Amino acid sequence: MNRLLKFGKRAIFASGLTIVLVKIYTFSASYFRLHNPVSLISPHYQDKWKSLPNFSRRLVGNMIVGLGISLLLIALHDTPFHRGMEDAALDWMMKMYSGTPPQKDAVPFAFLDIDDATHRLWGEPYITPRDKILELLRFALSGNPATVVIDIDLSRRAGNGDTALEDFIRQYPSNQEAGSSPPQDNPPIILSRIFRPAADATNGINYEIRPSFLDQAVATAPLVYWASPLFDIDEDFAIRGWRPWEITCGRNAVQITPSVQLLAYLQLRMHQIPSDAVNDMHRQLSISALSYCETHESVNSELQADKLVQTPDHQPLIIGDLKLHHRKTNLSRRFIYEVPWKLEPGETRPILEYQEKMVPALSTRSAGVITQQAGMVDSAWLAGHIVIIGGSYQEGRDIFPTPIGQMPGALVLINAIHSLLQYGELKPPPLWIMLLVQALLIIFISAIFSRFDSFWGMLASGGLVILLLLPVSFWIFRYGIWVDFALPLLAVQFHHMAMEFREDSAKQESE
Amino acid sequence: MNQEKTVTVKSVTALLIMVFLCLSLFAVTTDARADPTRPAGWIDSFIGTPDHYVLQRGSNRLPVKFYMPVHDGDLIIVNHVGHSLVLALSENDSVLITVKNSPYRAKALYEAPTLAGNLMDWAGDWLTGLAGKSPQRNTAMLVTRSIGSRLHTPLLNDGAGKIAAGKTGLCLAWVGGRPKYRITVTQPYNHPAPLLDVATSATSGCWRIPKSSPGEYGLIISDDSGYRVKTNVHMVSEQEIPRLPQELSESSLSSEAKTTLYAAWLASLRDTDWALQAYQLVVPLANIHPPAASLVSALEEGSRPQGMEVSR
Repeated sequence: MNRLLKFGKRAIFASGLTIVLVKIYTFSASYFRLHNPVSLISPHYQDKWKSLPNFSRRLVGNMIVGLGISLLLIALHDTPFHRGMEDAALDWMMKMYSGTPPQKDAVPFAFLDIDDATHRLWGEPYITPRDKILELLRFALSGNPATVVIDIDLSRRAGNGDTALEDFIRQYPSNQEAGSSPPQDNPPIILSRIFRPAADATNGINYEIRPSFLDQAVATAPLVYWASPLFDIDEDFAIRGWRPWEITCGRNAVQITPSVQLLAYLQLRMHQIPSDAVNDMHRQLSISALSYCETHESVNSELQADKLVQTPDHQPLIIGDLKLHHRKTNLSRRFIYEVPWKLEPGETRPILEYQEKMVPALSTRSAGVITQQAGMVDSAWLAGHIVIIGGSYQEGRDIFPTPIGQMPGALVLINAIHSLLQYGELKPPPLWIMLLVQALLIIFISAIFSRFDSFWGMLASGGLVILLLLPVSFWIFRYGIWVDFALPLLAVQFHHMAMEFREDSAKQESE
Repeated sequence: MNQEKTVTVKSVTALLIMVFLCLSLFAVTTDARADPTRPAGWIDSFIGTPDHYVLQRGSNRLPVKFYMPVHDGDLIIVNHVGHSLVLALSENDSVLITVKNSPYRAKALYEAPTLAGNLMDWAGDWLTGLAGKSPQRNTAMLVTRSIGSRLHTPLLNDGAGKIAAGKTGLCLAWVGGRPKYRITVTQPYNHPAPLLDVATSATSGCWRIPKSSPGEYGLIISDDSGYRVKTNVHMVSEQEIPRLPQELSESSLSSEAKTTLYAAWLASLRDTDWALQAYQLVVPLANIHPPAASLVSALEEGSRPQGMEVSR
């Protein structure tokens, strides 16, 4: 009953809003017809206005309607209504770009996948065996990759292999075999930190760091880092938003955990040592983090899932030449998915030219073969790759819906890193560019309307506008902002049709 | 004058069409040419040791390894009967290379998705939706993790097993899961007809199969809860199976005892897991020779005889 009431209220509100908007439009149109606003200006200019060709006068009307709607959309920016439209537009755009070659120089990825076959081969363990993880890690490092990310829960002990993994991490990189890559080329190892819901959460969902048996080893290892694999889930349960860092309040200190994609970006694009980046983040976020922790003393060691601690005065976080605003705007919190989990038959991954070699943008290989055929598996192809060790097996419960289909968490990380490397933080073009492009489009469609003024002509011109808008949007409006252009144009078309109708009616009346 | 104009327009149009056709032809031929640096796939798996295969890239002969990238124009040679190599051409397609189709010239067959292709697919899907084709659905398993008797195959050491090709019977065993079980053996080369497809309530059994040639066969055992064990059965030629030791064949033991000892010795070998082949040998004796029955039970539970030596 409550639901019915809620639905009824919403339906009444939507109908009311539509009626009000239509009324405002018709009232304004009638007002302008009766009290010609041109009469407010001097007769000299009135004559000039009247002497203008019909097309010019129409164009001015279209401009007022189109740019007015544009400004209205800008004013409504980041409202749920606008976010919904922007999300739908961006999702569709990502589907169209799914699996296509990257726009600029990209770094290849390798996914060492604990798939269902591997999981069974390992005896379907409840906790991923640490000896197997160490085997995969050694294999990945032997290929001289750019970075290795282990996207596996490493918080709990699993028995066999715990100590060996702990020792390896503690001694890395000094434990690298002689003859492998020189020390300065040792790639960083990024481990996914596990956050758990706090037992004593007082308001909303709060998370805290779950301690790991590797904590002490990581603290002493210069090239091993914890990173956050937390992402934002939308109302439709799809992952669209990324979180650049997490802040948790320990008993003695504030802890800042950068995201996996941010660490990978800093290491690859800016050749910055991740520990320096973390220090930079600490310096800029510490004041806000401390005040955040002081106000959350009652819920010690927690971070609020829906909030993100910002820099003081919401200044962008600057690390090297990377500026992260990460305001609560929809676009800046989103990332672009371009790497699908499954390909259609007859398709392959895009081929990149990387370090003077042609390599696939993503190579997925079953981890089981690597552990089963130790010593007989080639690792040279991993050179320069970002290697992710993760799982896609069903029982791992690490598969999530995304705008381009379901994919394992490791693939979401790959997409987030790829997006940050390709596009940085997403932001819409400056306002003046948007208004300029909008004005040009309005001029263009006004010209089309004046050329084709019959009903069928108008219908065809509408189709033409859509046809033109699509490639233009693929070309420049990749960030899903094309609805901001499409809606005003649609409004202009309706306005034009209304004007035509009114003029026809007036002509018939006079006859 | 008008005629001149028409001729000019026609000429320019013809010229433009020619230029377009030439450009298209150039694009097509450029794509068709082999690019020796372009990846054409990777070596997904192979039977036996790397010295049974050769990967020739230009004038270089490279040792074969798992997951080794294969380039456009590379030559793969299988130089031993009964051995085969699986070349993955993409994530969805692979080719089995044996002596029959060796040497095999690798070729980059597939292209990455394009914007235009994705757009057409989307429009096609939309039109299919209009035609009333029901959308694909995924299945969700709504269960909190629990400890149960999982379906697995200790006989195969939860991996692939090797047996002799050309036999008309196949014996298998598994543990756990929930009856009824379904056993499917698929043929190599993605052959649509399965070699075996039966249902049973027991956790072991022997079935008749057509005479099979050497190669890698897929084995799927699924239970009533929907769990599946998917592995491979390598059918190998008789010559590849370690022979009955001479000391044993010349001994005065009964044929049942000889076969059981041979099976136990086979299962004890460390370099390759011959337990499945050993199982094929002793199952027919289980009801008439008690030591064979013990060996059957041990193999079904995943145990392997240890420290067996043959001496006079």
